[in-house]
Amino acid sequence: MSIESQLERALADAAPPVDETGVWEQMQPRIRRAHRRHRIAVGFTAGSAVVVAAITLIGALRIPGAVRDRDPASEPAVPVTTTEAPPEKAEEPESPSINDALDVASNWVAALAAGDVDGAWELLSDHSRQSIGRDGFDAVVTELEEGFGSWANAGPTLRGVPIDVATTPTVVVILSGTRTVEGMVEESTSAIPTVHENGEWRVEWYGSVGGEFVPSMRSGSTLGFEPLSPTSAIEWVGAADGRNGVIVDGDARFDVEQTLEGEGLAHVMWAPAHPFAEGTHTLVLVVVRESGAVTVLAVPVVVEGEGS
Amino acid sequence: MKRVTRQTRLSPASPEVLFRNDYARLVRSLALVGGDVEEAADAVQDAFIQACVHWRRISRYNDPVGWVRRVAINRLLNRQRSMRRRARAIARLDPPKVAEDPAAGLDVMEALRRLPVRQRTAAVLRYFEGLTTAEIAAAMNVSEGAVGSHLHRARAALRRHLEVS
Repeated sequence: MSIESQLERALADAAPPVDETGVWEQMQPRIRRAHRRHRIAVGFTAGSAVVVAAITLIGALRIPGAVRDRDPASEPAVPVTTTEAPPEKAEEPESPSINDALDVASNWVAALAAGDVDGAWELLSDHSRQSIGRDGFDAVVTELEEGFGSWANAGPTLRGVPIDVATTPTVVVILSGTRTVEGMVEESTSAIPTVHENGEWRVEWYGSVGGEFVPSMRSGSTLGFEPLSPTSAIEWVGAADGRNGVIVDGDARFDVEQTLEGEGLAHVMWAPAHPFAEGTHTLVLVVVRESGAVTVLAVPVVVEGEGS
Repeated sequence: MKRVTRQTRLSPASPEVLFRNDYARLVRSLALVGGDVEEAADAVQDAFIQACVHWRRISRYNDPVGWVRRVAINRLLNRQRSMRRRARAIARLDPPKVAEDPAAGLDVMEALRRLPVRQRTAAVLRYFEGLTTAEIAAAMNVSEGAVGSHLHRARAALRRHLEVS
C-alpha cells in the first residue's frame, strides 16, 4: 500500500468525530459581541480620524506610555550599548532617523489596536503588501490585533536596531515589556522590521504569513523556555541562502557559525565572547535574504548563574 | 469510519450555510493538525465569528471556506506558538483526546505528530481534506513550491518512520 493510501486511511480513521448540534446557536452571543466590537472599532476609527491626523502632524501618535530607548537631545541615536566586538556595519543611515522607524512601528501597533485595518495595511511596505495580498492580510489581522495590538496599552520599551541591508535602510524595532496576551500577563518581546522606501518608513512584516522564510528554534530547543547558563551558545534554524544573525540586547551580531542542513536550511550558532550577565535578555533572530527581505523572531531569555 | 470525501463547493447564501456545510470537517482537520479537538473547535468557531462580522466582503470571495480555513489554521498555530501553551503541550504529549479507535493507524499518526507543524498541516490538508496544492498554499499562506517541499519532506519522513516500525 502506498504511503499516500496509508495516510488517507489513517487520517480518516483517526480524525475525531465532531458533534455540531447546537454549536451554531451557542455561538450567537459571541457573534453579536463581535459585531458590536467591530462597529465600535469602525466608529472609533472614523470619529477619531481628524484627531489622529492632527496628532500625527505633531508626531505624537505613539504607543501610550511607551519608553523610547534614545536620547532626544542627540537624535538620531543608536540605542545600543556594545560590550563586545562592534556589530557588523551596524551604522545608522545618515537619513532617515531611527526615531521615525520607532514612530511607524508605534503607529502600526496603534492602528491594529484600534481595529483600523486600512491604516495598518497602509503602513506595510510594498514587499509586504505584494507578498500577503489584502485578503491575506484581512485573514490574519485579528491575530495581529491580539498579538502586536496587545502592546498598545502595555507601555513597552522601544529600541531601534539598524541592520546592514544593501537594498534599503532597515531598522528592527524591538518592543519589550509586560503585556496581557490571551488573559495572561507576561514579560514579552516582539520585533518589527521596518524599511525605508518612497521617502518614509514602512513595516516590513510578511514573513510569517507571506511564505518568506522565518528563523525558528530547533526542534526540541528549550531556548526561551528554560534558563540559559552565562556561557550558553545560541543555536537556531536559519536560511541557507541568507545572512543569519542575532540581535543580543540591541547589539546586531552576524559573527555566527553556519552549517548547511539541506532543503534551504542552516544550523546557526552564535557564542558570546563574554558570559551573559544574569537576568533577562532579549534575543532577536534575524535573516537577511539576498532580495533584502528581513525576517525576525524575538525570544526573551533568562540567564541564571554568574556572568559578566 | 466512513472516509471523508470532498464535497462539491456550494455558494453559501449565509454564514450559517457555510457553517453547516464545513464546520465539522474543518474541526476534524484542525484536530489532526493540532492534536486537540477542543482547541481546533475554538479556532474554527473564532474563524466563523470573524466570517460573520466581515460576511459582506467574504461572501464575494471565490472560496469563502478557504478564508475560514486560513483564519482557523492561523489562530490554531499562533496559539500553539504561545510559550505557555507550548510548554504544556510538551509536558503532556498525548494523542488526540477524541479518537474513535486509538489503535487505528497508530503508526502513521505517531509519525505524523513528530513532523514539523508546517509539514503536518500540509499532509493533513492533502490527505484528509483532499485539497489541491494551490488550495493548501492558500490555506497556509505559503507558495505552491513551499507546499510541494513540505509534502515531499513529510512523505519522506513518514516513509522512513513506517519502514523502521
